[in-house]
Amino acid sequence: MNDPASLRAEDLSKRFGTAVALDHISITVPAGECLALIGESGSGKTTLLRSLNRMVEPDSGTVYVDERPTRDVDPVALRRRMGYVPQDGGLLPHWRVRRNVGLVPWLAGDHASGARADEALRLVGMDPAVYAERWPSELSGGQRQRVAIARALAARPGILLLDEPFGALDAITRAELHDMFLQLHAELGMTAVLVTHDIREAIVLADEIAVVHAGRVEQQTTPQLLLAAPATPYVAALLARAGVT
Amino acid sequence: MALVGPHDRPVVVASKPFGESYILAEMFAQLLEARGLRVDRRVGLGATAVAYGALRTGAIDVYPEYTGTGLLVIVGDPPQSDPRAVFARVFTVCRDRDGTRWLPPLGFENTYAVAVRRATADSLHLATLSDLARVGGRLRAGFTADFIGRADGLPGLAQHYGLHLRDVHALAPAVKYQALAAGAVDVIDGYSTDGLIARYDLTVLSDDRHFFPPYEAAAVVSAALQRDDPRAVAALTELSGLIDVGRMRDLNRRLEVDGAPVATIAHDALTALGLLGADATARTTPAREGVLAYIAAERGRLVALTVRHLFLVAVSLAAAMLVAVPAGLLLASAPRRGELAIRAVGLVQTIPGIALLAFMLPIIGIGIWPALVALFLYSLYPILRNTYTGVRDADPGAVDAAQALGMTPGQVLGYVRLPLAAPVIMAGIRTAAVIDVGTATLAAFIGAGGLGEPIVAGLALSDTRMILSGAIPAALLALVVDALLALVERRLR
Repeated sequence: MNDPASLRAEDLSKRFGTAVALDHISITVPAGECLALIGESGSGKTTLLRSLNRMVEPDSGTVYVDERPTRDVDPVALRRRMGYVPQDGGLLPHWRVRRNVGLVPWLAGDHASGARADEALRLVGMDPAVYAERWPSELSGGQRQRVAIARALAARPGILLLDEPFGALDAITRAELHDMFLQLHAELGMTAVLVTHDIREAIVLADEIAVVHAGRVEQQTTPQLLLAAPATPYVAALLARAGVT
Repeated sequence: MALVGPHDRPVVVASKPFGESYILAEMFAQLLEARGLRVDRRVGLGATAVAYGALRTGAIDVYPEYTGTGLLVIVGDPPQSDPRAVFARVFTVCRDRDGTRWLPPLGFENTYAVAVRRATADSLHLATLSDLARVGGRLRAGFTADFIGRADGLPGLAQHYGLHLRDVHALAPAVKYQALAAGAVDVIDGYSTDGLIARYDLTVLSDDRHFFPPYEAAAVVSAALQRDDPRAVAALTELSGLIDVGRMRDLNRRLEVDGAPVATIAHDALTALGLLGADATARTTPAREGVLAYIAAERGRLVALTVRHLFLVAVSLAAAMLVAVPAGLLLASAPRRGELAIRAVGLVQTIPGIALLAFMLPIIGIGIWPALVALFLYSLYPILRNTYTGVRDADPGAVDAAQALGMTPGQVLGYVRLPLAAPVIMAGIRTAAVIDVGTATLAAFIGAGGLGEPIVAGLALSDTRMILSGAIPAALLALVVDALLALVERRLR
């Protein structure tokens, strides 16, 4: 297990053509904490997440992992130290579950990548004897997300990035995966950044919440403080619309 | 008695793809063989441009040509009517410009003839082309593409006689007589020596205002043959002046009407002319059997042609895969330029096969190389397009995740994009292979062999059986190749 790393984005800006995705945005995630990025479509939350593992290169600003600028790190090496879970799972359809889950250890040249995969499957509550030899197309949506999380964790990264990982699931399955995530986070203690548009999910899963709007952070604080004291009218309106106030 | 020429190489005898040309070429070939020379037959070359181009570049040594065609197509002069002036002109230009040599004419003219059904001629009182011009607006014509396009064909004829026809359809030489007989058209072009004019009881309209230029047949030989083997040139000259128009029409009738084999007709003609020694043995004549019996009788040759056909397809397809798959991968990384480049390659697909072969003739001559190059070019597009599309559109979620988890661009390509695109790429290869099997039949027009050989010869000789003996195996081959590649494709899914 790699030690959980701290994560900090400082003054990031990014334009796509004329559209401003990030507007001098900054966030901080202490090691071992879970930060939820919440916002509407087009708020810039996904661009911010993808800046953290250099899937997007910001036009200006700096991302630090353990206070070291990521621009000094080879992006491929950087990404292998960060788990990543996309909304649709992003499993490779032509690889069986075990090979998918063992991907990052295998890339790192770990000869026991199969065993690592089986361990990771157990972590997410899937029996390798049942699921390891299946094709992704033979899994349900919830199983697919569990496998995607197992894949992100197989090399035990210090940081886990999740891009709306539970967004496409039904309510019951989502609740099951929330429980699983909380348990994993408690057990492994990795630093996590979770993008979501569901404020209730953020409240349940995150240590802190950053409300992203128009490429800026409106407010970053704990769920309790957010609910108690919305810093801006936008945050207040967001909470009111979600019916959580 | 097998004497060997000063340069021990076979004399390459060629013909254009119509019956009379086959007969004359076979007579050249048998005469050379009777004089102890080895002969390589490359009959049925696509068109004047292909045949003369091959002669000029030394890919073939001799083929029968007509002075009028030489004047218009090879020299590029306007039509003129004095036969001696025409021969002198083509002889001089070809000698000085290309080093080729027109041997003294064989003794007959084969000019264009315009023919109608006897019933049409009777009811409309048609005897001359001037008569035709009078009633042209009521008649439908079926002319060969050659005739429609050439200055000494329809354009000149229309101008010279003030002729306007109701409709003009382009017909293949092989079907125009049937079309006329069946009443689908009323007027066709033909050649004055055609054996079919008698068979279908047609009236040839006389050229009363002397429009058609003289078309005297002659052997034309390459510079290389004149240099390497003067004895071959001397042997070919023996035929000069010996074949009059009546004899040629007889020979054509035996071929077109009686369906006798070319080799037999040529042998009999040479014997009758006293040009073959007494020891020359007649070739056996297979009787006209059904298609299956014909295929069975010719199976040895057909197997060899099928092997050649497969060779053409396999080599060109392999080369196309080696080029198009990497090119498709490269272009997929730059989609905007990629799309443009692929459309440009797609343009090749719109060039008709025979035109593509004609373009390449001056560069790579005739035979197997240009055929391989043409098939290669035709195979590029489907493989390139499918590789490009397959790789570009490969499951975006999977590609993104693979990248985000730390695959290098090369690993993303090799482990994700390419495997996901494999079935699509394979489908492109399969399409290319089936197109190739079909297109490879055109290779016969430039002497590259394959199953097109009996098809081209059969079309030229109006022999359906012969056409089918090439077409049926080619179709079966396409099905087999498609089925085999479908299996490979299934395994990749």
